[in-house]
Amino acid sequence: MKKNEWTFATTAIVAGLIALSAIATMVIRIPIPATTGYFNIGDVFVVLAGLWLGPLAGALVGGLGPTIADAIGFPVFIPATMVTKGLEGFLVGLIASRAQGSSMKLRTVAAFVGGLTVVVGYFVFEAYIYPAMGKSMPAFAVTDIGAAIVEAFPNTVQGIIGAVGGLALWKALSGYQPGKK
Amino acid sequence: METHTENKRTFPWWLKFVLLLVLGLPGFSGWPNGWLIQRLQETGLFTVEIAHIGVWVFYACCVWLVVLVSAGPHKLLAYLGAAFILGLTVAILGAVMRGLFPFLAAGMGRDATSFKLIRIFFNIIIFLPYSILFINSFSAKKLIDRVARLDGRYRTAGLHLALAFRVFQHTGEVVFNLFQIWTEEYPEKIIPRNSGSPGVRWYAPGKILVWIWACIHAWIFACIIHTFEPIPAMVAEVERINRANPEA
Repeated sequence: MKKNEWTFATTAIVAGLIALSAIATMVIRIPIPATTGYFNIGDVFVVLAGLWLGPLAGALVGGLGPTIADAIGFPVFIPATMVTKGLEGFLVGLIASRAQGSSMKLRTVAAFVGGLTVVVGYFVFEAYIYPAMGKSMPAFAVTDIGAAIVEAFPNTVQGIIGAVGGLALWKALSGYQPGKK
Repeated sequence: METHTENKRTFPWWLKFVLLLVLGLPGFSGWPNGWLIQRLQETGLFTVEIAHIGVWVFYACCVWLVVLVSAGPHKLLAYLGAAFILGLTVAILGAVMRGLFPFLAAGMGRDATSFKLIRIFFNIIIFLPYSILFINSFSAKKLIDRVARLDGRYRTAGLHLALAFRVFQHTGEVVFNLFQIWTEEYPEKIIPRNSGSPGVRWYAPGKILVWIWACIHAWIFACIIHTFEPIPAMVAEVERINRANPEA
């Protein structure tokens, strides 16, 4: 999507993807006791938003959808999710926006960079930022570096599923451009 | 739905907003639940776990009562159905994963892990109905009408936000109805009934993975179809309002 092409249709689709990413994050949740975090498939829609609609839409869907899901059940993870997933959607969109036509090569790289962002982002939050925040705000004292290492495994699986699922959905939907009739 | 509409007429939007924020306060701030838990413990009649669970149950009942009064018994049951399915799925999957991959608990005791899973379960059954009630308590149509009377660029931005809000409301309504559709039309997606049929092979339980994949696949596509189906009509309506008086 080029600049200045943000239409009402784009807003509606982004809102739909935000809602879907929140629901997908809530429906399949496998808790990780070590960090009180959880495995989910919401990344599929974050990657899809970045690939389909670009970095701004990716950042909005990633930053808001899974965050809404975190508010229902796992509120302590709201800051980590908002930053990490927002960055995931933004990077996927940024890299994918340089792809020519319907080429899959760069889009595949973009989707997997998104998956890597999830692994690295949560690791940084759980290993360093949350323990530091926990010193002044006990609610955030739920993880440490050991727990962060444990959660890196499910996060890697989550990142791969998000990348593959997002690419598959993008391929299915890529013929449609919002705003064009 | 009619009760929702009735309440939308009864209270001004700001009063509903304040009342809903007050209802969610224990979830956002931990007060007065923390205070109540401490008082219960001080009586010496309850352990810390039972005090927590007692207070969560009481808070859950308060939230459900508000949903009942505001949205009616049918909506309450629909929301609770979805909330309990999600809550139990999360808790059971968490317990199964704890058994299969003990390293995920990173040395935590079984009781501590179980208590965390119960806490998550309560969070879901309380805050899912609350969130849907919050979103559905405000009228998207009234919001669009109000925004349409604004001036200049605020009007366009407002119409974008109002449209996003409307799509949110729509998705919240249709996606949770999928639970009912599945139980009525695709019971095999909820219960793998064929597992007990004659001619079942010894490896039939292994098909549970195929079943899980089919469920996720069907769920994602059903969600997409139901969410995006009315979007062209919604967009056309907002574009018509925007074109009708672009410089209002």
